[in-house]
Amino acid sequence: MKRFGNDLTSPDTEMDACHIFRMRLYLLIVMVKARLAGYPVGKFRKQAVLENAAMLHRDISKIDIRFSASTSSNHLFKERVKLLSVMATAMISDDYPLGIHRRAAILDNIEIITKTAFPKQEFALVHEILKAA
Amino acid sequence: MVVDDDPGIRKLTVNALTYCVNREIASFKNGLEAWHYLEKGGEADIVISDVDMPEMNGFELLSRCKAKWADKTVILMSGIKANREKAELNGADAFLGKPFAINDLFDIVQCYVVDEPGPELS
Repeated sequence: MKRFGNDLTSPDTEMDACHIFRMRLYLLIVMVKARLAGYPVGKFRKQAVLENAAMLHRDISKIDIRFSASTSSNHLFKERVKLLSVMATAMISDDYPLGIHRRAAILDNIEIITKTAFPKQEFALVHEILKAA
Repeated sequence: MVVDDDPGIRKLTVNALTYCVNREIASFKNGLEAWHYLEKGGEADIVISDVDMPEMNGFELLSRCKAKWADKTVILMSGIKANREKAELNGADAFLGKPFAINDLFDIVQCYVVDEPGPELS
């Protein structure tokens, strides 16, 4: 039997709202980076991005989440997450052009969010998974 | 297919897997609903199911699936260590320990969809 996920040695087995929120945020960053890298977007993949962005945008106002690596205020961080969800929605909708400056703004926002929420994690794009859509 | 009575985990897992495979992923809130879907011919080559759920738990769903479709890949998920041993004894193909991360779902897709492209998530 193959094993994935937590090795169950830690007593903390909760997947609470904060944990799920972090996972959604991580997923949205992967989604945006993959789009910027030019990976294809199929019908269901597009739907998944729009849904994830909408959920994050909705939940960020309700959730009480703090990050130890935060250098800016919690309010600013939340606004950055909202902005990223709007950016992701616009990017994936194909209705809006993605110029150099817009691309730079997205990357800048991702960098700050990553430093705050995932300071020790790397966002490796899984090529084999992303290339097929 | 994703089966979990926790809507937050279920929706997130479906969202991540839909993104990875670019296909519609069926989801259910307990084993019984999932079983009814499968019995009626619903497609799902890979079943990812929580263990502790009302109506029908993950072990019962695993046992029914393996009895009827031995080739179907069934992955159980739980945060309880004893459930991992029980999953192995009952013939689960894999176990996903909770709390898991997005990369763990990517690893599952890599393992069962990319590296073994026979079955597809649905």
